[in-house]
Amino acid sequence: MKSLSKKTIYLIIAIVVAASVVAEAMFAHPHGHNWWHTMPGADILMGFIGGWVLILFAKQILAPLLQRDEDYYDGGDGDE
Amino acid sequence: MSNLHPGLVLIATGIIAAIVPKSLRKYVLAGGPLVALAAMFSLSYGAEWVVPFINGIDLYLIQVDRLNWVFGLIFSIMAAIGGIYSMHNKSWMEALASMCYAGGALGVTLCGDWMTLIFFWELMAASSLFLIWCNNTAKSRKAGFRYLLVHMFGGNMLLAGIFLKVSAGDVMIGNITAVHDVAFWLILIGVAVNAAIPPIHGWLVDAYPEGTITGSVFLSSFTTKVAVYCLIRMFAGTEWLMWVGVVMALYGACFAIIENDMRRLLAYHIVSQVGFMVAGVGIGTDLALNGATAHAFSHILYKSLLFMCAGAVIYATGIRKINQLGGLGKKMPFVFICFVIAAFSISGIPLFNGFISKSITITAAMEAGYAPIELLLQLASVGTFLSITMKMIYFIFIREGKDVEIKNPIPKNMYVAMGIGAALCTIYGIFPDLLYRYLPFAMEYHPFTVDHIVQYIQLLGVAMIPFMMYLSHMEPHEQLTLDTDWLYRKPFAALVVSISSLVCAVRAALGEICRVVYDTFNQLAKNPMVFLSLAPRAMADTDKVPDKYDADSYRALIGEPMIIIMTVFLFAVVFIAFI
Repeated sequence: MKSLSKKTIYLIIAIVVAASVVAEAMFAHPHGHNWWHTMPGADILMGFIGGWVLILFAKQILAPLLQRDEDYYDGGDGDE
Repeated sequence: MSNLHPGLVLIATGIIAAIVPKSLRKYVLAGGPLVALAAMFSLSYGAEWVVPFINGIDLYLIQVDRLNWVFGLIFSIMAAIGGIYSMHNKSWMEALASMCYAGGALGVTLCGDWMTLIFFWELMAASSLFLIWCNNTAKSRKAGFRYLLVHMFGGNMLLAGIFLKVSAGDVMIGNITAVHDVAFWLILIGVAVNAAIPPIHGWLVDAYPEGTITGSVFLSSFTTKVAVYCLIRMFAGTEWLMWVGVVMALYGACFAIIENDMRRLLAYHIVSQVGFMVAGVGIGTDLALNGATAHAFSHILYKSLLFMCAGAVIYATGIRKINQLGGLGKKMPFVFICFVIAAFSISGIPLFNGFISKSITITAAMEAGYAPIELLLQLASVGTFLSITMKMIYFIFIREGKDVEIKNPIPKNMYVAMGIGAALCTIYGIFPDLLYRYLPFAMEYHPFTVDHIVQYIQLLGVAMIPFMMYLSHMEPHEQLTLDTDWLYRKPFAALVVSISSLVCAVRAALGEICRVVYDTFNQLAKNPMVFLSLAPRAMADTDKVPDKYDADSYRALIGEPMIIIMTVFLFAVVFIAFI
């Protein structure tokens, strides 16, 4: 994604999400049990924070901890 | 009822496909599953086929209710799609294995008793192994052996549990959660191996990427979903399973973010998506069980489509690593469109079939009052979206700068199969009632409400931002990610090697001792008289001991006894003659 198109994509996301919040506030009939079911736009928090948490956890913690060279298992896994 | 068992039809299809000439094989592979699908439709709720077995036990080869009918339907559909996808395949063994495997899955699904279940269960394990071995590389052979060992373990656990059940007179399959006895745990372990529940999921991400291109499509569809069916049938309402499901859903999603091998990444998403189903089993309400069933149905369609697209990329380019791919959207537009449809489906984007099934389980968690489960499953949905829709589509199909050559044109039958898969993902996504009407329990659920749709737009729309902001670090590296298969590939392997070395050393030592004893005995046995210290008088003067026993050396001289005998005889004659 080029930097220019990146900006456009951010803009599209912003418009779509803003429209969704308006639609949620006007038309949705939340029937949830907790605050995040009734507060318009609560899922934005979930998507943004959740996305960062997963990416950073996977890339910064899991990858350094668990990734090894391709020939880690005895190096003899190639075609014989 | 119909006389045709759809599973046996598929097994017969496999056998016929294996023995007919190559030119006819593709027609058998395409046609056989359609007969099985027709047989499936001809089965009505309540249909039974009972065959007498030994000791007065009856085998219920078919016992249909709403739950196994819908699973049977999707397995039959999948066999048909898989059959078309593999029509170009020349290997008779792969045709046999894939159809027996699908037939085994239908056999497990449709049967009513434990004995029939274990038979078809083992048939699935044995036949699926050949879909890995048919790839015929050193990697696939080794992965296949590990797959075999894990499934032998799981199968034997299940068999032991079933022995306990049947010997207690409990021959029919049903919910076994009432008593947490040994049989409960053994059967649960057996099923959990096939459901790829961590930590016994390593076999899946180890073996599935090593299968053949067409074999992996079958593999991705049956084993885990048959296990989900068994979990719904036997373990519905086992509360702690919902936490297991959540762990699976997040585990698969996190590992998929860093994975580089296309099919291994998709395998991680099998773990993740099966997690949603296991969570549904744990919640155990009618809505949750419907959610698990519906998600299994949808999952088979979009996951097989993802594997078909990944297989098409591997077939065309010979490359399986994401970091070596790029820009395929323009070179393989049809595959690109199908992949996007499958990715939208698995991510739960409205109007695709993942949305209509995944949201049922999440709603069921909310309605049952399990708020943390609901939130964590939504988080897993974000992970799925990031690693498949964003990562795979961008790095494989969109990004520029990689000059990937199309070496082999994709066969037409693969396009047809992908087209059918994509069409079904979309049709079920737009018309959910086509699926909902077959779900096992009654429910009042409407997926296309404003709050449902808005929720997914916000959740997934915003999740794109972290991905794009972190894009420069998102490309996977040419590295291997360790998973729980490490436990039996490294420490357990080392333990086995140590134990076998110890046993070998003991054996060698015992062998040496025996050899010395034998040699000594052998030496002595050549001349036992030496051993008994009865060396011949003739040789008493010398130090030389004869190597071999010589009878002459030990005979007394003839003269002395003759003189004694003659003297006695002479005295006797004189005595008789003169006295």
